[in-house]
Amino acid sequence: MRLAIIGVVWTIAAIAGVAIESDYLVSVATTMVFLGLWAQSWNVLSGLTGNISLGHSVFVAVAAYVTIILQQRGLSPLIGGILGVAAAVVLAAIIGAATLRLRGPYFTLATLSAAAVVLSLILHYSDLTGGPSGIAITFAHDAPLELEFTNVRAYYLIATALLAAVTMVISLLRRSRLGFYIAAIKSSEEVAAAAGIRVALVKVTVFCLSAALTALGGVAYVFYIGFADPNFLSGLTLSVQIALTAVVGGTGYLVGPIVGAMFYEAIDAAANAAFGAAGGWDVMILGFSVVAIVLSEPRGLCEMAVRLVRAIAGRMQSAVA
Amino acid sequence: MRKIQCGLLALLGVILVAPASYLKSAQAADKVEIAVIVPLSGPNASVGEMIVNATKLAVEDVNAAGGIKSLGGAKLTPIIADATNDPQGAITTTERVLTQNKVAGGYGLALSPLTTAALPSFVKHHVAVVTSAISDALVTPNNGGYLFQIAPKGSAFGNQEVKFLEFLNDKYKMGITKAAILYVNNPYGIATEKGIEQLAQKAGLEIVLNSAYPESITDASPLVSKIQQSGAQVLFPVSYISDASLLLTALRSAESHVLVIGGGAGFIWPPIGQSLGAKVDGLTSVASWNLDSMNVKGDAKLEGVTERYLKSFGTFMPEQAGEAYAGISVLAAAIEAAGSDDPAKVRDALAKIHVTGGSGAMMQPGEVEFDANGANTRVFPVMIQWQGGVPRTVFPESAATATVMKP
Amino acid sequence: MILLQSIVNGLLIGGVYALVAMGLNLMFGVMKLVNFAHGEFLMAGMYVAVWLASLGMLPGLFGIYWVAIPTMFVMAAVGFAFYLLLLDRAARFGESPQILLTIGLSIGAQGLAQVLRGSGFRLQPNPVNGAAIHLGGLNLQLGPTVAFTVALIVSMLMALLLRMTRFGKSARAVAESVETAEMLGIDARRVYIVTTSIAIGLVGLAGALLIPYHYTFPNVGQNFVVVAFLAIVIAGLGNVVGAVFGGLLMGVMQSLTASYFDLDLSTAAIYVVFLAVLLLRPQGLFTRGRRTL
Repeated sequence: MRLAIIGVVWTIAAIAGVAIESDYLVSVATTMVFLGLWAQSWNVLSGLTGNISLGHSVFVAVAAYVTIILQQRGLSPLIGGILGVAAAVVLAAIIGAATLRLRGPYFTLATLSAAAVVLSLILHYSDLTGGPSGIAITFAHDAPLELEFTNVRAYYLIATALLAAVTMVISLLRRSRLGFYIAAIKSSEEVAAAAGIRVALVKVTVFCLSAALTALGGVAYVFYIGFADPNFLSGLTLSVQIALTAVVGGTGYLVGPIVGAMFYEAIDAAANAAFGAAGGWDVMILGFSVVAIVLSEPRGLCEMAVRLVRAIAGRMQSAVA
Repeated sequence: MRKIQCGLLALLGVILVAPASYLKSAQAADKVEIAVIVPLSGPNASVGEMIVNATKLAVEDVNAAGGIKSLGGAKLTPIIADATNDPQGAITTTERVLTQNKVAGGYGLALSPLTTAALPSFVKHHVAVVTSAISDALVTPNNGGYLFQIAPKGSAFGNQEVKFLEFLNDKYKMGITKAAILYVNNPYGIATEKGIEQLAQKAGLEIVLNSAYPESITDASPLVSKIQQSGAQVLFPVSYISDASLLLTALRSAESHVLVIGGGAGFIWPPIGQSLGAKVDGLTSVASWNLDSMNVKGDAKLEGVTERYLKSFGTFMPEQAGEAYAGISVLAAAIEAAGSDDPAKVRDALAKIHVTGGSGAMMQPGEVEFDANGANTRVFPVMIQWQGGVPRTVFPESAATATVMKP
Repeated sequence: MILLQSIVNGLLIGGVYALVAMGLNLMFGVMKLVNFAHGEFLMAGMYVAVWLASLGMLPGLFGIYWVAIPTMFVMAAVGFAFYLLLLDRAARFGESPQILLTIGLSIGAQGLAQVLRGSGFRLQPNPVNGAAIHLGGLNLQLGPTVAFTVALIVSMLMALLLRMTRFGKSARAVAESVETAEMLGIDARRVYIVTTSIAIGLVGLAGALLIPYHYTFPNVGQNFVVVAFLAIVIAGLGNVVGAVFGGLLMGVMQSLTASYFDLDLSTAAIYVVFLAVLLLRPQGLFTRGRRTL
């Protein structure tokens, strides 16, 4: 049932997006969707297990670079992308296993460090990766097998399809055995272990799943942008954005990260449009909006909306009574 | 609490509605719009500011002279937007400006990665962009034909620095043979480094140190350590604002006598002059443009522009501002030549243009012409030396208006 | 000689990191709060200090340092306000919202700085910039040397504060267990207020010590905050005195890698060392067992 709803929403969103005339609005929407996709994937790890990762951009970067580098050597991104995702999963397995015993800020800083190390490596081995100048993907004509499309709507469709798929996966995950194990571990690791749950395996699996979904988005994203910039793709800014949008939207809700991404990108784009020329205002508005939201409802925008609806429903009920 | 929530929802509502209101009214017939998209937030905001300042002056001058006369005296109107600090933001901003406005051309994005990221947008909308970004990779045959680089190429920078060293070696019999290159690890640093390396080898210099360092460095003492270890007699550093200052003061504290020939950016913009005070005098560097080069000094109007900059903005007119003034003026000249605000026609006019006077002559040597890849065929970098707290052009001879003091 | 100079350089920059890290660690130890806006408080302290310095400097080599004490007090007041306006409410939130709050504050503050003071890079010309102490063939840059010295002194004072004063004991109690402390009659909220004020005051002091030789600009905090985080985790979260050694260690690591390996890998080296310590000794290098402060 829930899957059907997701499917319907996706169809509507897809048609609506494609129908918009303005390329600019479509590209804002596309960015929104990618951010939502990454926030959803992040939530698989951090929302479900409570360990906040601030290094998720590394999976975007690894997948993106592997795909592009292979494309430079003649391999279609459709296959290269799979390899890119695989590479991200391998990295996640390593990081996940290494950080098994880490909790809270220790875990967070470990993930942050991992992304920073990878960034340094990308910048250093510039013969392979293009170093700080990055790799540009230039094309003049559509080449679907190369993930090259001249119309941004194509990327919008790909991104929304991926987001719908990821959301479905999470929905299924929550009701699955694995989801149950995750909840048990989050509640109390010792009890879960005593009950026979293979805690280490579950934790690493969750990490890998989260990384894989993030990486999938990364592959499509780099072709949408047409340019691999290492400082952004493996940077702290992106990792923070991903975590921020998920938490602002509400990690406890299935659509929380999506709502968060919509909010974040909407404010970012609008503030830039309205105040960009004024230097600093756009950034300031974005940051302080986040502060305001967290202060008024720490469980995120979805919770705020739910409370508002309940308040209105309650008011209406008492008005009727 | 309720108030904050209501306020937030209201803000959200306004913000979501606001972009929709950009369904613009029809273009006023007496305006010609150009896009100026540069970083105005984040670590490179000060560069963007220099460009915006110069834009104001350039636009004033064009309009004071009668606007775009071939379009009935239409007023040149800049649309200024924040390219932000990352490629994603650059693309979104460019898309927004080009989709919601009918611009005849653009100037931006100051930094090579941002320009590279946003270029496909310009190509798609058939809008030419004039840029001060120096990367060689921007002016290649597959750049779509819409990019026009008014600044010298990065490799030219490096070449000029070595030629200047040879000049100094000759003039003051310095006998320098060992060179060190330290460059900030970003496209600007890399492009300039290549130029230095190429020519240094040809000039018979021994490169005893050639290393990149991270952008956000907080301590330059390891760099100084490496320089001293290498036995270099001349240092070619390529740095931005903060690292240039850290490096120079670290060299001073180590009482190093290595000759420093800066790679532009942090070595020529106002902050280094302000922070070092009188101690900045004697520092040499390469630059894309300088306020007292022969082509500027010899022209009363252009000199007047630099004076107006000082009066209006409180500092001498820095490199990025001079380039922007020239770039916007050349763009205006192209619109004038095209006789139309159709960006594709303006692009064609830019490709054919040969500026030999007027505001566009701000760029040395007083002539601007682009080749098939968009590179400026006439320009060359100049070497400056800080004298009396202001950068003075000292090399090459065709542009120099001051004599270099022994460093 | 190169080795010694490298180590000395590392210790000096490490002193700066240590000063920045001290307040961060105090807040974490007592309030269990990871303050991602810490770098922006450093930036704010620098702006306050640089503005004071522009008003005038005392004569003499160290004339610019008069700004240190006023800056510290101003920033302590800012910390006070920070707690009352923001953290007080967030005290009951979970870890995610708290981190998010400070991240949002960090982003907003950088924008605010640009709005208020522009994007320009400021450095008040002063005799400390470029000066150095020459000691037996070694070169000690004056600015970082002063910061290093102050860092050592302040950490000793902090240690005394925590051991000897009533506040210190209350803080340690709260750090160990809030419930128990409250049961014993300690007003945790008061402890939090004072802790935040001290912590932000300390980072303000760090800022004041940076301005003689380091540019002030809206994003300057970003260059220091991550290393500060790494330093406090390596030292042992909550170990205020250990944070000093953590900072020094980070500085030395950075310096040695830069001198002996590729410069551009020097930042990566810090992260690698950090990860190694984290994985091998997660409670930190300088904590004895499970001591919290």
